[in-house]
Amino acid sequence: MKVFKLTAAQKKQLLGVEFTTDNYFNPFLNGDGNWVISSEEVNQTTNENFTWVKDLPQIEYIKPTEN
Amino acid sequence: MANFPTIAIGLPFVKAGGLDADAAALITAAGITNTTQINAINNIFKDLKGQGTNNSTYDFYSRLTAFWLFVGGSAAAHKFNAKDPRDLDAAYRLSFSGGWTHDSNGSKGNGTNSYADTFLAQNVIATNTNGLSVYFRENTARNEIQIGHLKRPEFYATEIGMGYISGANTKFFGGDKYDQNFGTTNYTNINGLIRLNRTSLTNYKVYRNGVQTESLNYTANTITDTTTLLIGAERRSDTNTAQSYSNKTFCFADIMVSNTLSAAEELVYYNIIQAFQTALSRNV
Repeated sequence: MKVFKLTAAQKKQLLGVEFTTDNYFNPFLNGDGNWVISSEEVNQTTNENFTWVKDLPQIEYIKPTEN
Repeated sequence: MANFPTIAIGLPFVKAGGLDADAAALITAAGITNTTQINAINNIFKDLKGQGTNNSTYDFYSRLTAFWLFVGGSAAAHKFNAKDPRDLDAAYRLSFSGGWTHDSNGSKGNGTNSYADTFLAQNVIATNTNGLSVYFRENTARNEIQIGHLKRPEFYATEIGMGYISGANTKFFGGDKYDQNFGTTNYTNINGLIRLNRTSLTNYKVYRNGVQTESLNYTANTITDTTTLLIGAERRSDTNTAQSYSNKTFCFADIMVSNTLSAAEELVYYNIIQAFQTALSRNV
């Protein structure tokens, strides 16, 4: 499964922002330590200010460790 | 002069008895225009109030603090608490974060970062009587939480989930204002209506589709945490973040903060929820 890689600055930009009506970005730490968002968020993004997420690089999802 | 039949014009088709006023409020808030969905919503409101074809005895409606029907096919429709369909956090209107997919079957999580905040704080839930429900479609075993809250560092859970022991049998996993723990039942089928029902300070039960599957003698802890319960994951109190994400399609969820159901009521309650899902052709 693929996820979309963010820089730390991009993660801050997206956190809590509405990507389409009543749905909000939730960047998370991938198991490899990279900040990422899901393909559902990218594919459903209609917020004109954030369509740049569709150009983010894809990386493999690695399940994060939960404590 | 000939007698002509009376014809209602400009109203959605609703069965005899009319549209329940509370159902109408939800339908309006969610912008629902589909006749099948309107009828299903109207019927579940009547049933929950003890005024319907599936229940003319018990008043469940007044006991519910919040319930979400996931009808309408979009986040904008699914977000409303049917008990109080105002677009406010204080009305326990859901806020969807991460990778959800919304359609006529309900709201499906992606299992990696999707959750819905209920805005209902853990400390609101009573220690001696309470209940949580989820209805989901997929019969797929997985380590995940479908609704809940985890008080850290004590690991006091108020949540419904599923998990494995030694990678083998699927078990109930969660707790009711008690430590996270596994139930004893091995579940072959784990979808449908799962209910957590605390009937006293010292006991809580788990029901699947109206049938008791667990009875656990664990005394509820008093928890003063003000962070909120999530649907599709668990809220971890110390970091105020979500984890244990679910990949299920949610068709119904509810919270009763200080009420409970008897064993007889559990079966009637399930029959109501199942009739609702059947009317929407998404029952399992």
